[in-house]
This record gives sequence, C-alpha cells and structure tokens, in this order.
Amino acid sequence: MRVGSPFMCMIPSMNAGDVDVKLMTGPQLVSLNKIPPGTSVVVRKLEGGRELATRLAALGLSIESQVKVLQNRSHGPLLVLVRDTRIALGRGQALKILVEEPEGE
Amino acid sequence: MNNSHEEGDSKPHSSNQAGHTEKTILLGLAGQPNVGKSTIFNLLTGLSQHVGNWPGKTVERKEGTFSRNGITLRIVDLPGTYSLTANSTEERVARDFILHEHPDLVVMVADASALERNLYLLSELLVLPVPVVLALNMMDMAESEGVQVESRVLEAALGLPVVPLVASKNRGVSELIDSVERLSHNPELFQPARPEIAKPHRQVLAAIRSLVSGQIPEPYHEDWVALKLLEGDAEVTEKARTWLQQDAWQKVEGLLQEHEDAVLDIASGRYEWIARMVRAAVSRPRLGQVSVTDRLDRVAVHPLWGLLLLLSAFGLVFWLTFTLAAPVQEWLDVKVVGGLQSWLAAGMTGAPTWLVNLLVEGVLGGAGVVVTFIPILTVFYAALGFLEDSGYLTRAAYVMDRFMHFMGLHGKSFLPLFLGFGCNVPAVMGTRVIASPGGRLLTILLAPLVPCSARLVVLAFLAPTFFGQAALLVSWSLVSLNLLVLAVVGVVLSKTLFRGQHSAFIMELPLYHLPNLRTIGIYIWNNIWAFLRKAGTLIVLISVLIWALSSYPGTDVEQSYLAQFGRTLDPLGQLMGLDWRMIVALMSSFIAKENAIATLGILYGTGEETAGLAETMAIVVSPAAALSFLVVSMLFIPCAATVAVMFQETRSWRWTVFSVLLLLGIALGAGIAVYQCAQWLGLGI
Repeated sequence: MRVGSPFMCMIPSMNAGDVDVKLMTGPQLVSLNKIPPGTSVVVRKLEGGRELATRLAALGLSIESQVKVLQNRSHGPLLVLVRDTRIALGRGQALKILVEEPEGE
Repeated sequence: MNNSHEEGDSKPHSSNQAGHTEKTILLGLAGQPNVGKSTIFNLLTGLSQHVGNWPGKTVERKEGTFSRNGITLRIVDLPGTYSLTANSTEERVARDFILHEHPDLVVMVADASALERNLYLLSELLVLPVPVVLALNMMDMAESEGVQVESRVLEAALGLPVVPLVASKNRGVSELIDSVERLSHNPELFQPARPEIAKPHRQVLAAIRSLVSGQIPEPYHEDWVALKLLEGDAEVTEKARTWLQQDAWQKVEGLLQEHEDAVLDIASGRYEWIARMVRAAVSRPRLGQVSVTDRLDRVAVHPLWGLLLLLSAFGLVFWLTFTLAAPVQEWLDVKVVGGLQSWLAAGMTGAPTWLVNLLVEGVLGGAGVVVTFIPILTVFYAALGFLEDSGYLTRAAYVMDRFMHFMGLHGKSFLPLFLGFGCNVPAVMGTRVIASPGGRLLTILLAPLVPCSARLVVLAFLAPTFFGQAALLVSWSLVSLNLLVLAVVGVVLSKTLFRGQHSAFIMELPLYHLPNLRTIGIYIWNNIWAFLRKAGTLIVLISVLIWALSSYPGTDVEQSYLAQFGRTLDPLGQLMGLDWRMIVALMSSFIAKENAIATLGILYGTGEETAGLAETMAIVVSPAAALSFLVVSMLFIPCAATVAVMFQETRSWRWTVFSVLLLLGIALGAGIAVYQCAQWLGLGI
C-alpha cells in the first residue's frame, strides 16, 4: 500500500491502492464484439441486466462458459459456438458479454 | 396409431393388461426448441391432436392421445423453451401447466448433440413437483457430431429414467412409452439428483425461504418461490408482493436488491451441476472433425453467398407456389366453386331469388375465396416447413438481420414478412416467432405491405392491359414501391411509436438435418386448418355483407348502396383520377384482393367475363389513372382475412384500426401523388 496524503487515513474504507493492484494484475476483459473469428474465449462477466443474462444462460452462455467465435464481421450479428450450440448474437448483445482474451494477445 | 415396433418381449405391466384397468396419464411434453419434440408428439398422437390456444394467450396448445395396453396417455405438447424463467409467454405457459394442471409426468426431450445446454431446462424442471423422464433424442446426430452419450450412465447419475431415441426414424419411441408406464406404476424410480445453489448464495436463499414460509398459497412451493425470487423472476416477484405481509416483503426486497448478481451464480451453479452429471456419460471419441453443419454454414451464413442462397431459395419457393398452386387455385375457383354455384342455383329454382343469390353469390362466393387460398397456402407451407425443419430458416434470419436493423427489427422478423408474399394471413400468424411484443407488433403492422400473391395476380392481369410493352417494368416498379414503402414505414415507426424498443437478437442455429415428411405434413395441415377456422367464417360473413350492399336496393349494381357509397367518394377519387367504379372495385378488394378484377368486370359492363374487360378499360381509363389505380390497390388496406387475423394476434382493436387507417392513408396519398405527377408528365390523356 502506498503512502497517501494525510486525508487518506481518515477514510478507512478507501483502499484505493488495493483496487489498483487488482485491476492491473487481473485478467484483461474485453467485449465479445472484439474477438476475431476462430478464437476461443471464456466468459467472465455478463452486463445488461437480469433478463439478458437469464436468456443467454438458458442457451448455454453463462459465466465461465467457453465460447468460440465462428463469425464476426464489422457489421451484422456474431455467430458463436458455446456448449455445442451455434448462437446468433446481435452486436448490442455481444457488447455486453465480457470475455477473457486467450493467452499471448 | 400404434408403435408396436421391434419390441414385443418386455411388457413390464402384463398384470395390468390382464386386469383391463383403464388408466389415463396426463403427460406434459417439455423440451427446448429444435430438439425434435414435435416429431415425437406427432409420432405418438398422429391426427388425434387438437390445436388450440392456451387460455388468454396467443401461444398454441397442442394436445393428443396415445393408447396402449389399457393405458391412455393424454399428451400436452408444451411450448419449446430454453428455460422456465418467466421471460416469455411460452415459458410462463410451460411452467403454469406443470404448476396448475398437475400432470402425472413430464417427458423432457433433449438434443443429445448439445446435452449440457439441454439439461439446463431439466435443472429447472427438477425443482417443480413432477416426475420427469428424460428422452435423449437425435442420438444419431450426436454421433455424427462426434459426441457419444451413455444413457445408462446418465440415468444413474441423474436418478431418473433416461431413454435414448432417434424419433425421426421411429427408434426408441416404444421404449419411451415403456419407461413412462413403468414410472407411473413405480414412483420410487424417480430419485433425482437436484442442483444446488452455489455456496455464496446458499444463506441468502435460506433467509428468503424462511421469510416467505407459511405465506405461499397452493400450488406453489416455498423452495421454488424463494429460488425464483432470487433469480429476479418478474411474475413470481409480482405475486410474492401480494402474498407476503408487508414487513416480510420489505425484508425480502432488501435481500434481493443486495444480491442482484445472484441470478448469474444460480445459472453457473446449474451448469456446474450439469457438468458433474454428464462427466461420466459423455465422451468425444472423434475430436476435431468438421461437421456437416459447419461445412454447409460456410455458404449459408456468409454475408454474400448466404444472401445469394437466400434469394435463390426464396425464388424457388415463389416459383413453386406459382407453377404448382396457381393452376389448382384457378381450377378450384372456376370448376369446383363455380360448378357448385350453378348446381345450387339450378337446384333452387322454386326458391325466392334473393335467397338463391344470397347463397350462391354471398355464401358460396365467400367460401369460394376461402377455398382458393388452400393450394397457395399448401405449397407455401410445404416449402417453408421443409426449409424450417431442415434448420435452414434460422440461417436466413441470420443473414437478413443486418437489413432488418434499419427498421428497428431483427433477423427473426424477416421470416413472417417473407411468408407475406404468399399470403398476408400466415405472415401475421407467423410473427409468433418474435419474442418481444413491440417487435412482434411492428412486424404485424408491416406485414400487409408485402404484396401477397392475390395482389400480384391483379397486377399481372391489369399491367399488360394498360402498359403493353412496359408492363413488366411497371410491375417490378410497383412491387419495389411496396417494399420501399415497407422499409420507410418501418424506419419511421421504429423511430417514433416504437422508439427504444430494440429487442435482443439471440437465436439458436440448430444442426442441419433431413426434414421429416410427417412433421411437414402435419405442419401444413395444422396451419391450413387454423386458417380455415380463423379466417374462413369471417370472409364468408363479409362476403354476404358486400353482396347485400351491392344487390340492394333494386336489381342493378349501379343503383346499389355500394354504388351510392362509391359516388359519395367521387371527389376523393378525382384526386387520384379514379371514377366511382374503380373506387368500388377497391372496396370489394377488401374481401379478397383478387375480387378487384371481378368487380371491374361487372361495373364496366362486360359481365363476369373478364376477356372484354381489358379492351374496354384500355379505352376508358387513362394511363395516369390506371397507374394510380394499380398503386392504390397494391398498397390498399389489407383484406378482411388479414384484418381478422391481425385482431386475433394483437388482441387489440386499436392497433388493428391503426393499421387499416395507416395503410389507407398511405395508399390514397400514393395514389394522389402518382396521378398528379403522371398528369404533370403528360400521361393523363
């Protein structure tokens, strides 16, 4: 923990340093939108509310599921393979799916 | 029908057979979409099935019976749903059936080639108070995809009967019934392993459960209600608000707000459970092969090749409809209906004239229109059933998604709209595939702008009359105009009345497989029967009404109420260059679009014969007026059948009337614009 200004220690819950460290060393999350075809990624976070999350989960796309991007062009929906299921996803929905990029990228 | 195939030795309940005890089992058939559930349902129930709607819902309810050895299965085909959370009407219908109708048993059909995803529904079913048999369908597909499932091992892990089958080849269905019978006699065979919620939220769930304890009315269970509350299920939350005492509800609400993320954990927890269940049962001996589906998809979902494939597939459907159905339609119209009309007229010589005319022209005329729809609908549904059952149709929706976005819609809306080229009635009914109410309503409003085959017939008849060499150009321009108007109206409505209603596009693309002829046949039959029931009666009624308006008072159509009404609209007609006869023809096209030609025939004094009509009209009507007439009739208000079905599907007179007025406005506006422009260009001689 770095030494902050004198005011810092007056607010005990503000462990800003801890958060920073975690963000820097933690996995880099990107939107599924940005993943090129042929790449397999792991879903880490689902944004966009409960309804979207439950619909995606029911089709197999849950947290920790492995997703392979089959088609992703600059326009139009994505095509992904998850749990042996091919799913078409609108770009708006793919934006809300945060995945961990594979090693070495 | 009977499925006494290949297996006659293992009859587990011969005692029952000897005792002749009649027993009826109420069985719910559940499953995710595209798992071959309807194939199994059709195999078991055949033509004993009854199609209706779930009370108060626009979701189809299919029911049928199957009897064997003194046992009758009453089978209810539940809507295909991926889960049982109340996100859609289908999901609500499926779980309400289990909760309120207390089936003795549920058979859940799963696609063996995507077992993990399919078992998600099972993990939700097992929390409900009903024994479940798991039917592992498409075992052959799974194998060709390189997935092998040991059903015995899965059965041991899950603690419930698991039956492997290939329904498309009628394999394993008999064993499935055996299993259902066995379980209904020995309930102790059902000892399921139930999924547990992930650790971080176990305590919260227990807390919610104790808060709701003692306040949940039948048939709901406290465990299930607590779980659904934590999942954020809209329907259960709404209900719990009224069930719980106020302080209890406030505590529950507080807990739920604190643990909004629980829904993700619950889903992951279910998949962890599934992974444990299938670990020993599923193997993949042939990894890394390229499946048939992947190979076909290289073309089918490609932005360019996919679009070309789509155009040629639908061109083929179109061509088939016109070459196969049009001659049959004409034969039905002229020979069957016409023959029946003259037979009836001849047989009723003693009866009063008005009665004869009422029956011959009003009732039979209307019924004739209904009947002539059948060939077109048959060919169209056959082609569509083929494309759908093969798995291709979802690819078409995928390819078209880009274009549908401009109208605030997504790929799924393309499917019903395309159906509209055959007939707008199935197009409106076909919007059921769209999950979001807003998107569905917008698609229903746009559907009548797709030029249906009846309007194309009118166009094909009149265009050469007026425009000779240029007929083809005019026809294509008019069809394009319709599609252009559709796009503009779609864009405008999505930016105004439907603003902010962009719904999520999430769609499974199933594996390709050979279509099942039986499934297609029953698909055609069910759809045509639904059309006859829904639209049929209304068309006949309106036909009688129009007949009365055009027959009274007096004997001459020129003095009729219809003509009088037409004349009052003369000032409006003049703006479009249309005389009262054309106005009346347009109005008669409300019954059915092809009526326009027959009416013009009567009013321009060439009688029922349309042969002389072309020459007469070519002399009397200017090209500008003719063009305006064609434009208006292409864009005019939907026919009575379509309006009836629009009401049926929207259950709202306001939206139905809105659609009619909107199209009326567009048609008249376009007519005026075209006529005035054409005159200005010097076509109005």
